[in-house]
Amino acid sequence: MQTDTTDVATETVVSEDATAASDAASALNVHGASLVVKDLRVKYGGVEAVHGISFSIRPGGFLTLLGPSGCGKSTTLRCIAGLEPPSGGSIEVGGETIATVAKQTPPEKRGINMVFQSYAVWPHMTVAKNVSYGLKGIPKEQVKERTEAVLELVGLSRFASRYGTELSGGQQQRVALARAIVTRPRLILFDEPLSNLDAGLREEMRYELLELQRTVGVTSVYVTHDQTEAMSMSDHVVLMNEGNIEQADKPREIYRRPRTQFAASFLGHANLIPGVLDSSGTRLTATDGDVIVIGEEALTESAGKSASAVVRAEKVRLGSAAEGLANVWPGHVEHVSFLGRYLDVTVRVGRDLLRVEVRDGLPLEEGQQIAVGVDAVDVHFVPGAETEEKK
Amino acid sequence: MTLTQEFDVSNGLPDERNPLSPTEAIATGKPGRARKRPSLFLWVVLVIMLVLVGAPIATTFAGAFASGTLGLPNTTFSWDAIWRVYFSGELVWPLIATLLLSIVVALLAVGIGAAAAWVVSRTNIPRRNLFELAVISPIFVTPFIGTIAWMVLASPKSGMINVNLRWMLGLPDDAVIVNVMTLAGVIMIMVLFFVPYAYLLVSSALKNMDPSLEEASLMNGRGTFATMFKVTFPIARPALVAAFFFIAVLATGTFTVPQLLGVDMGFQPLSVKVYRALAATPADPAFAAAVGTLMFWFTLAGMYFYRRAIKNANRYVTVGARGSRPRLVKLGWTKAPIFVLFGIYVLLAVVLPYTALILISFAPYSITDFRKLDLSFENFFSLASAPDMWAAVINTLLLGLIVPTVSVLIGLAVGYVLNRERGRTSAFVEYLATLPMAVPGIVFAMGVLLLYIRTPLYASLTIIVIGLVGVFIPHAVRFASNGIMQIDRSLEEAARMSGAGKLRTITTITMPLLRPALLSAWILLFIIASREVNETIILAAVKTRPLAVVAWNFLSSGTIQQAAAGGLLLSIFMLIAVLIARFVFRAPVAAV
Repeated sequence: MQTDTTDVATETVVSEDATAASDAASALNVHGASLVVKDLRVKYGGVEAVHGISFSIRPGGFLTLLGPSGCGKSTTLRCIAGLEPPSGGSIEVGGETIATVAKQTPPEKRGINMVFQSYAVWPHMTVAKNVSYGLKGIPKEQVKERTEAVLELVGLSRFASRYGTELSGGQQQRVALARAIVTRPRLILFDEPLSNLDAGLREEMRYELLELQRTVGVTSVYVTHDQTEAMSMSDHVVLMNEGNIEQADKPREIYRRPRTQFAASFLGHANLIPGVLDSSGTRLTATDGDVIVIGEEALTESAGKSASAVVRAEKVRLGSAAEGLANVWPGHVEHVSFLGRYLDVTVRVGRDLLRVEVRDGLPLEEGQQIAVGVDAVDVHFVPGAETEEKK
Repeated sequence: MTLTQEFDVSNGLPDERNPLSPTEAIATGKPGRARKRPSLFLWVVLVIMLVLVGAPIATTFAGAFASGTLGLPNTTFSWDAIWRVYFSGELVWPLIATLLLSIVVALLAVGIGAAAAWVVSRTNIPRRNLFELAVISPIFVTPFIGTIAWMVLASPKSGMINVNLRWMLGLPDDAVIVNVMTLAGVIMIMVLFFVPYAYLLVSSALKNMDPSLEEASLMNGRGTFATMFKVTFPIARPALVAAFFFIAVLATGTFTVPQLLGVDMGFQPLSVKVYRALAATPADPAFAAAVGTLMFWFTLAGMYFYRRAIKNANRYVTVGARGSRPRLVKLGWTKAPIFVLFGIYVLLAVVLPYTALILISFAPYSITDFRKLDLSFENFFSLASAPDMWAAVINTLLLGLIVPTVSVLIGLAVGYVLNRERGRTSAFVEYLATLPMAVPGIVFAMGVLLLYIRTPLYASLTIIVIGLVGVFIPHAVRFASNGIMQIDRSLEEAARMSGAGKLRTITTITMPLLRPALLSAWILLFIIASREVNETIILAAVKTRPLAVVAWNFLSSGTIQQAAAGGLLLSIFMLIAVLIARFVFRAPVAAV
């Protein structure tokens, strides 16, 4: 992925400012450093789990490593933390190389902090002790001041003298968060921090966490398998699969312009129609049937080759709404289920099944014939199945 | 449904409350919903526990107020023994010395065990399993056999090391290079053979710890050592305290080592006083019982502190994330000294003792001079022809089979009651089930002896079984209870919903799931039962002596080489049994 190298260049200045500034007493006065990961490889128990990935973040940025379990995202994160050694490549924070194969700065000396999936709130310490643990070598009053300020920030002042495990999951999460920001790290790593919370609390914490990150302004790397978290929180998403980066971009871009079938299907309800592109790269003939899909943007690299058309479920129109669109196909309603906010409809077009979100209260019956339409703007092409290419 | 879950529903603020573990909920007597009446089964368990545990302890107290042996016709009520023990001041110094000895032994053993556990679980030491085996293996040697071996090795006059180094180094005939018959020797032997217990308890705590707790410390800028002392060991505190207390009580009750080695120690530990009062002619059981009650108070106090220390143990229960393994500290130059330390430990606890045992077992007289060594099977022949030798082997085998079986069955019943029934009665049962932990074996055995002295059980094998089962109950209950606790109730409920009756559920779901826990309990108790001396020696009669007691008697009569042969046989016996368990029944052997 190419994040502007200018970011990297300017940030060193910023981070020096940041260290100077962080010596001033405000607990909120934290700035992040940039992070550059170059061709990182990690072996985990003899098997290479990460196959040479590169990405970078500007100071204060929020980057998410997204992917299914076992894709190497947590391994990458642990490698940045210094908890795993790399087997290739390098990691730089604030322009300083902290890990190569030959030399790794120990985790405690990296100026990085981390929020763990299990929170890792120490059970033998109070909340205040947990939070102030990382503050050593500074006067007691300052430790107290900073601890109190951070606890105030996460709304846990009342619980300062409680023991960590006497708190609820959400509160423990806040302790972990407070503990991670109080040391004013150059970088905070989040390892699926919300995955142990129940759905409602998860949403609440998501906003809280994001707001806090904005307030503190620290550079953040966030690992999750939850696309909603990735989409809503980060300015950059690095989508990983099987130890490789599938795509790295702004969340909206990945959603709108996925570059691979995996990227298309991992985010949102995408319908993939496999077929062959014509020489212009804008017209796809579906493999199974007579369906032709026309898109606005050409995929020149796959012109004349196999490709898939990506059509988001919410962009498909049915019935009269389909009239006049660039693509109108005859469809057959296979299945309708009512999900409250919308109808989840499965229609058969040619031999492909398309999922459609219908929000206009269209009366639909299973077995009904209906027109299915998609605008050319909402059609996006990705290269054909990789498995075929590899063969 | 557990009590804690019930609370969650009722007060709606589950998270703000310190959750109580089921056992804690019982201990603190917090009421559940309508408390059920104790079932018949609970009453049965209660009666069994009262007979096996309550009665011997009560008898010890009663025995302390007797003029002679409690239960014999001429015995009357008397304050003599109580006065002598509690008020004459005679026992002040031995009491303090006993406590100090136990504390020093426990501290050293826990220190070494914890350090070894940390090295094995947290560093990149090569051949981890071999190191683990090295630390655990002395558990098969036992303090008693170890003592025999070290008497052979390092008694001041005829110890193998002294005799041979004298001529090798050209020293005078009365030079003493090492002497195990000292206070330091007593401490060393006990520490050497108690380390495995400390190791097992601490290492399981370290292995079950969520690695991210330590990683979080690193991320907060603390290095390896700060993390070890501020996070790792504090979180493992319940295990450390448990190990300390366990070993301290074990050391308090071990009279074999100080009795054999501690002649010049300057004091007699209380356990030795109890033994001598019982073994002397004429015996003074009232005095022994009174000393026993004195020891009881102190171990009870220890137990109180132990329970208080682990009261918030549930605070320490850590739910690990995705079974990630802990980050291993890279050993640089420290690797060599660590290897050497492990090597010294194995040398002292296993290699030297067994070498000595084997050599002396084959030596015709107790000759320890390598130049005059003339090996033969003489001792084994005389051992085999010794009176009641075969009876001893059979007794050992019987005890080894019956005691663990009975203990595990009772442990299972108690564990079941503790987990499935709540209330004052089951809390009392739980208390009874942990009580023997606080009673030194020799004191408990004396209680059993006094209790059954006028019944046909006296001098039978059954009385040994009763005594050993009573002492082993806490271990059996702990295993069974942990096993039952780990079985999610929904597994049993799913069986019921699938149409299985109560009995079928227990036989097809509960028992198979409990099998590993029960099997490892059985094996541990088998090992302890077949080598037990501290209790058995009080309870065994001529015809009911097991191997360990026979070896003890050889030692008392001065034929150390036959004692050594007996000890060696016992070790081989245990080893074969454990190998059978490990490879035939595939039982996990390493869990205490």
